[in-house]
Amino acid sequence: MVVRSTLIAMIVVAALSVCVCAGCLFSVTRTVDSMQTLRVRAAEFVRAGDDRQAMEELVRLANRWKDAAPILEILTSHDDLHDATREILDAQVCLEAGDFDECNRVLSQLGETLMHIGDMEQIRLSNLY
Amino acid sequence: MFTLFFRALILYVVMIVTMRGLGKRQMGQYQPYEFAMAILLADLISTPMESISTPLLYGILPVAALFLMHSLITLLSIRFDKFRAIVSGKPSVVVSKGVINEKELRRLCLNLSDLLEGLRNVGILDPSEVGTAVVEANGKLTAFPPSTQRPPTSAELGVDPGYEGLPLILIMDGRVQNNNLRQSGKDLSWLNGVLQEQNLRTEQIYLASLDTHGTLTLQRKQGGIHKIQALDPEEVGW
Repeated sequence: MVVRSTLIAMIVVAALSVCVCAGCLFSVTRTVDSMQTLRVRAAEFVRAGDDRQAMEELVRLANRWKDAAPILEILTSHDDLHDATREILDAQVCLEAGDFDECNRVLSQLGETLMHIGDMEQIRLSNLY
Repeated sequence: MFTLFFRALILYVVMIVTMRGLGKRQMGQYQPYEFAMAILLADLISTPMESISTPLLYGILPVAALFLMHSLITLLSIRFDKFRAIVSGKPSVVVSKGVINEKELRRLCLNLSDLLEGLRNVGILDPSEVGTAVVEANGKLTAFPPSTQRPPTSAELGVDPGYEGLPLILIMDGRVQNNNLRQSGKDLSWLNGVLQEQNLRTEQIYLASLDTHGTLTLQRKQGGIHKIQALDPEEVGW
């Protein structure tokens, strides 16, 4: 009887854990991918010197991030999320000031931060040791 | 999250292997894998608890992983004796026929002082009074005197002390314990009748217990103890 209840508890906990892990992997990867797409597009406009289009992309990027943040805060390190938020704001400030080079650098940094958030969720040997 | 989950699994296995390597000195009453779980749990829970920037899931998921491993080890230990011996170890006989097994003591990383201390803990001052002593898998020492030095049992004396079981508490601080009363096979009117014979009411009783010889011991709130033969020992059915 005890063995049976332990077995049932194990199956329930295993199923829940796998669901949470898989949900987390899916949610973080999807958000990071969509953020990376917007970031690359914004960076292309910055490089082309189109500040109006670049700002539109950055606003879209910021809004997307704002929407995703509440879920991401449950799933991933808050410090990494704060880094990404700060870099999005920095990119907007640089663009408003007309400093395209600095804006490009900050966007590259944002790319690294997003990649790091995504990488943390991947099942890789490098993450295990 | 998968990473976190697997890392917790890996760390747990490492912890168990380490605890087994440390030998029995480090254990209290836990099995090695239970001890590892106890240590890790406290640490895993405390990190997300003290740091707001760490998501709660960072604490919950590793705990779920530990629970899974712990349950799995428990189930396998129940099913397979060999697995149990690997994970929890085996009892070791350190004193046999009154002779201390020095080799076994050394293997357990124990010295004579540890053995003497363990014997004192179980109430034996003189090691020559020990017939057999065993260090159990959980690290506890159990010791038995040689048969010539232990008190005779009632069976050896040919005396039948009758059945001895758990006494039932019928009244606690003036409140009747209905479940226990039902278990005794009696009802409230019987209990009130017994108390009335002693000019007592339930509210006046601090503790009433009925033992398996049928003796009802009443301790009054104002002090004083009454012992009544309330049941025939043959009526005792629990």
